Amino acid sequence: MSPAASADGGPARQHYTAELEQLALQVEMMGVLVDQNLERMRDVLRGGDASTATQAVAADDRIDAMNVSLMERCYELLRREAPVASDLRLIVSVLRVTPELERIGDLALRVVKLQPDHELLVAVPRAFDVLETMADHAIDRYRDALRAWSALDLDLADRVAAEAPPGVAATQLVEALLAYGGTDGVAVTLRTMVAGQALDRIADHAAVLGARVRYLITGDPDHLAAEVR
Amino acid sequence: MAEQRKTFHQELDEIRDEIVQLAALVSEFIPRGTELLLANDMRGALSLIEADDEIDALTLRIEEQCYHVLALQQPMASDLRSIVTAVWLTGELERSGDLMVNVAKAARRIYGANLDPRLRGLIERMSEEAARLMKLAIDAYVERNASLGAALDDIDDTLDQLHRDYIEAIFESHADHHLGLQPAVQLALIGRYYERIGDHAVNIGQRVQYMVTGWLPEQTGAARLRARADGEVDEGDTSSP
Repeated sequence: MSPAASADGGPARQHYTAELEQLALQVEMMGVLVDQNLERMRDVLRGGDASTATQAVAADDRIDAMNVSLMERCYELLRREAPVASDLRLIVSVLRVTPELERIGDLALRVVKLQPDHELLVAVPRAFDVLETMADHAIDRYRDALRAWSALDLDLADRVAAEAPPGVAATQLVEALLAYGGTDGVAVTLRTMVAGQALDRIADHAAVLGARVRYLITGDPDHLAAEVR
Repeated sequence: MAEQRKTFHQELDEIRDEIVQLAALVSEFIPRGTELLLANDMRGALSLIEADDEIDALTLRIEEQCYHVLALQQPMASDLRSIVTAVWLTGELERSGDLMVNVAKAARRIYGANLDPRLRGLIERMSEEAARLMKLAIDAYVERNASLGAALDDIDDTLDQLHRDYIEAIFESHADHHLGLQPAVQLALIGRYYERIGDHAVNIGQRVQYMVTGWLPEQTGAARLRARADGEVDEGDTSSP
């Protein structure tokens, strides 16, 4: 048994508890960085601004760095403290949640990197409208998941986890693209589908975040099962 | 202590074996889903959709087993990475299985649609390529082959190119009035599902690299950030992460 575990309430235990609290806060900070990049993604999608795209690419490196740092910290805690029960659940949840956040950041960047092809993205107004709606939906869903994590809000986590994937939007997107008669139809379709797929997946990863928060709060394996569809 | 370590490594072996079993189930879904799509086999579609429950159950069992090992043992360094990798891999594999369930559901939506030979051929080739990528990803995991894991990103280019050709073929078939709007939409989505399986295989390759070497793709971005902080790279550097 580690000193932290044996000295109940002692300085070692207090230090360990503080480390766990800090770990949860660091995840929240990483979540905020991802949130900022999602907002940049929406701006780039709307207006095709190159400088915002450059900022987003640079900011993604900070997200990656936080992911690496948080993972190392989790490993250190697992090695040093042999955590059990809710402490272990928190650390395991951090190990599961941070790659989801990192992946959401990567997907946002996938949309951002379409910036040089912005003219192609706006070529089919109906499809572009669907893309904007998908972006709004993905960001809203992500923010709900992040709020659920910050406040350990079970009801909110439940709602985020339970929301069905927005398959209708993907269908509308392809319908709009197929109705387009331009000679650049294939080029437009490929780029628009890349963006649509990324936005769809951001919403999907947000739902996984919700399921993870739910499991963190309750420890109920059934809640773990809800993530697996 | 020696007895405890032996048990621990047995548990790690069991986790690895179950991951391989999960991968086998998912890999089997790929040709099976493609065949039922091309053969308009509705009974096969239902059977595949129902078989996903087995994948889900195994996914949960592996994940809970990983948590059990974390709670009861104190794995160090590479053993710890193996367990965390196993948890990640279950997610990648389970989602790949879900994508073939999506193919089966789409097959039901376009029941009776007449697909021209070019589209059928491209679907077959995308399916073969997705299955090949998944097999290579699992080979990399079993053999702890970090180089193969790293190569999957480039190997996936073939599937990406097939997907581009496929979208072009859908457009042409739709424009020539050989393919209705709804089947065209569903086929476009089906192409996306195969492409995403390829992405999951690439992710597995990256996780294998991590398991073997401790390297994460995000470490490249973290290194760039440090270099920028040291003034070695301009803030405007946009080389891809």
